[in-house]
Amino acid sequence: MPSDTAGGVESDVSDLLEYSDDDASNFTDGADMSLDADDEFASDNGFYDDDDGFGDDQGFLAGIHTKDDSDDNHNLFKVEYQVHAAQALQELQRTEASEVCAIFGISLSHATMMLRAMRWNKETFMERFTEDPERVQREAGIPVGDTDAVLARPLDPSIDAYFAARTEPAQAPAEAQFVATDRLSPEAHVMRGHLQIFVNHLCEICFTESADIPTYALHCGHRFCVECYHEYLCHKITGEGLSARIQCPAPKCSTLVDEPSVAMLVSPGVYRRYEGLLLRSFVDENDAMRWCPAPGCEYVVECHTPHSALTSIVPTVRCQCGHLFCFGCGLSDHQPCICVLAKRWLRKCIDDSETATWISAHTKECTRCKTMIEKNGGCNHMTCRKCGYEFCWVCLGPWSEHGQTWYNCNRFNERSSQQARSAQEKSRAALQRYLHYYGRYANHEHSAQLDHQLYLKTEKKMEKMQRTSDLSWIEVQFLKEAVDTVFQSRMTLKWTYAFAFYLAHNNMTHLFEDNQRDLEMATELLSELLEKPLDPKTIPALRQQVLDKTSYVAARRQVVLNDTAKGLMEDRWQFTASLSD
Amino acid sequence: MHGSAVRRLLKEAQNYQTANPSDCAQGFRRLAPQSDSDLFAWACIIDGPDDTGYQGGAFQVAIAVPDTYPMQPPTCRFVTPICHPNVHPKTGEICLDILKTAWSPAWTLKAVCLAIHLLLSSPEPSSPLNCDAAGLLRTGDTLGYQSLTHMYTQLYALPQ
Repeated sequence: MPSDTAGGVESDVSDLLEYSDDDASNFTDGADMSLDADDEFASDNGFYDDDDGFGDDQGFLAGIHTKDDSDDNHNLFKVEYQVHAAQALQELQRTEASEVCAIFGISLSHATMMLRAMRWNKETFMERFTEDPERVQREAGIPVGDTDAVLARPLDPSIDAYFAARTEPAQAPAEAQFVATDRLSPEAHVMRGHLQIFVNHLCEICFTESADIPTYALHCGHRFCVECYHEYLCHKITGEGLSARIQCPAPKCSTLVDEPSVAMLVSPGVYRRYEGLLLRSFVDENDAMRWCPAPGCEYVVECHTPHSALTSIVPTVRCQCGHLFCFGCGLSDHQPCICVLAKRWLRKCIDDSETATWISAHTKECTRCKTMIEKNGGCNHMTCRKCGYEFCWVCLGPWSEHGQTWYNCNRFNERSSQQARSAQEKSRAALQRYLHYYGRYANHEHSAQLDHQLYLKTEKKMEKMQRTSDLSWIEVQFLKEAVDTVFQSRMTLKWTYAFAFYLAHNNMTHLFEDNQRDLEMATELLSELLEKPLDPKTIPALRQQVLDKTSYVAARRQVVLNDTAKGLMEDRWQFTASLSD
Repeated sequence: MHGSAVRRLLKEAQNYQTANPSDCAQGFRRLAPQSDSDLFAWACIIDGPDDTGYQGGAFQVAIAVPDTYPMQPPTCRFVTPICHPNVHPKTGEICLDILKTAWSPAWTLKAVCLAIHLLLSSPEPSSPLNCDAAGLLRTGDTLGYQSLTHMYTQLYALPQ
């Protein structure tokens, strides 16, 4: 798209129209306004919405670009996602599992356990389960051959009896209903998933040998008394915060304790905690879900951008709470810079920026051995501690040329000193390059923070505008929108600098920088406009200007984001750093 | 929690007292509480396995049992100085999976001692606490490792 990179305000009108979408719909309002000078803002409430906005202007637009063409370029940088409330997770988990149940005819609890082992990737699960169901079962901690024990268990009369005894302590334990078995005959020992009373059963946890203690075993057949099981589970759940990964207490047994067993063995309070932990693990282990990282936020975002696509797309999502973040890495939005580079950039900033600035300001390098030297006193006759080279601190030339009598250096333009300085410059260039990008990155970040104050100021301004002019509340919203746009653009700009730092220098980079410059220029202009004091006489004109500029900035931002996203997909950008960690 | 730990420890103590002396053949002796007043501090003597540098040595191990036992593992520590890749040279701390993540409440103190005894004859140099000893093994210098462990055993671990 050649016009993407065209500089200058005038020539960008075509871009503006091309890229205006729902975000820029107020541009249409602005255009209307410029057509009829009356202050008729019928369309402020989104009357001209999205593509409908082109309705009247279609003819005007058609001459420049076809609509299909512009549709292709829309929203290249956006991904599809869904936001779920924490309360809906349980249902979601059940739906996922029951779908699998229906296909393979397995119990819900087993399906849940196996899906969990597959990190809730249904496709992988189905593939592997059809291939080798026993292996999948084993890996999920379900002993092979135990297909319906879980389904059957709730119907077991001994459990009802146990619960009856538990809930009504006054009633004598219904011993008659328990299955009394003789001391650990091998067959009895492997009876699975049952609450049973064994005569003379020796629990390996408490070492109690008794005739009337109810015992429990998972499908693996390792039997312990119910009290010990209870204590074990409580310790794992409340003490260690485990949920899905609680194993049978027997040494080296990898069978996992399933949900119905936990429900039966622990108190309701502990079970609630267990359920909460399970839901947490449902999201944590699910590659397509992520908790919103905003503090105190309880929403979950579901997005199906695979991890492998993160080098070509930046999946920015907006949580219900308003927090804008990257689904790929959880950092707050860093479009258009891809996750790997964003992470590396942040790390570099933490490590380097302070040090680098200080080094740049306070040190020079020995021209022979390149050791960093800080001058902390004394004359300009430097002798490098490391290599013994003598040079002049001022001109960096060799001291030998200064002669014996010189104290102040006046030999700045000597050839040898010039060479020494240019060598030093080269070695500093990398540092300077970083500082260039870091400076602008930090600047935009800082400005964005200040924009919060601008927001408060703007609110006052909007009130004042309502009082001094005949604009209504809805008609002064444009100011708020303008501030939002400035903030958004600054965030985008900030990350374009991090992105540019890692870009190799070529023609494509030039195009990128042109786009970046246009957005930066437009943003600064709009920002300046918002700082202007209010004069009742010029309000309509100001409003017009702000509206135009806002939509222009929004459109420029779209251009930058779209072009970068397109470049990433086409593999157009070349990076100076490798994209693997 | 505390109560069940006491109950179980009492049972274990009884078991070990009445156990026959052939337990010596298992590689450890005198597994018992250090004193009658504290059931949570145990001690035991591990015999150096044959055909290793530890042969002939008697190593005292202190076992601290937590309140939450047997849900949580006991903490074991060599009191006798010993040169072993998985034993901290200064504190005597032991790096053994069943004492950390792979603990199961069905393990007993006896099983723990047995495991420590086995650890002496099969060290795990890939997760070392004593880097010097592990280094010797990793570079394949078994002779050096043998002599070093033997020297430590002769110096510190011979029964009086």
